[in-house]
Amino acid sequence: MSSASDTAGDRLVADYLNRLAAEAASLPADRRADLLEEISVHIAEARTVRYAAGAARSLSVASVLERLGRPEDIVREAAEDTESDAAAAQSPPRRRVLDTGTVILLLIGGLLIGLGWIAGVAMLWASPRWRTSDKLLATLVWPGGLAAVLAVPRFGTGLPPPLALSLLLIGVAGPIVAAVRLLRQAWRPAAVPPVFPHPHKAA
Amino acid sequence: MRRIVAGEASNLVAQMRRGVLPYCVLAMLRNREQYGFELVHALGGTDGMVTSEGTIYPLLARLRRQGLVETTWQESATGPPRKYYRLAEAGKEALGEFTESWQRLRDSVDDLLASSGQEPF
Repeated sequence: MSSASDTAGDRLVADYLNRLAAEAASLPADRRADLLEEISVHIAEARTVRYAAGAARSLSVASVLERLGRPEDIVREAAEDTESDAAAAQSPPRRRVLDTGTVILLLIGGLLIGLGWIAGVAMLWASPRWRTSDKLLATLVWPGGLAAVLAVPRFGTGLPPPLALSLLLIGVAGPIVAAVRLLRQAWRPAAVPPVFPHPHKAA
Repeated sequence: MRRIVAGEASNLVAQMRRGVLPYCVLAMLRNREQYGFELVHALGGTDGMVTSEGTIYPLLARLRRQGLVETTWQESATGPPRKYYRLAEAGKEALGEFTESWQRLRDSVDDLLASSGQEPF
């Protein structure tokens, strides 16, 4: 086998696997990883095996890939009965709206109506979207959200202006950073898989 | 009853093929465990059973999730370790039930397709 055709074949395989990885982005992570590995190994085996007794050479890479079929067909097959898994991986639209409302309440609920923040906390803890550690952070570190900022002028009149200003800035930045973090998790889509640099090679 | 449309037979056959394919895979594992490439290659060689060899792998994964097959890794002299598929107890039962149902259906349909339309009485 000439090295030139090997390299061209490697490129074809890398292209194919990249396409497959891209199509498989919608699958659950473990299923995607298994599928990508199985197809890689299949290609590696197929490139070395002799398909017919006495055949002078193995099938061309193009033939192997054609027999494998289109990546979108393979992924469609893998996606069967995945509906429940997919729903868990990415929140349905209604859940995202609720979670967004929760973050808004946490942030400014204290400013508008004191009870708004408490409602936000209740919704925060009821949501399946966030980890307990995130929920604790959001609840305890910035109780009252931006409403805590109002407390600074009231209780900080005796403080030197630079200190009061710093506290004010922290009081504003803190809740916003926490809110952004919560929102990103609420809206996160399924993770995108890595790109294949090169195909498996049989020993 | 649905209207039968001319040319629909091939679509129906494709659906039936999809339906029986999992059981064909189980049957191939009846006598010995095999690794992915072997199975896929053998199925791909059987006339018309599979259009896209790559789709066998998700099928195998689904069979494993359903507990019908089990997988083990075995070292290979010629390359990376191979994933071998083996029929599980549940798989043997499912295959047995299907085989019985299939044979009855097959025989009945064959009889009817071959019937000469003779009057029964």
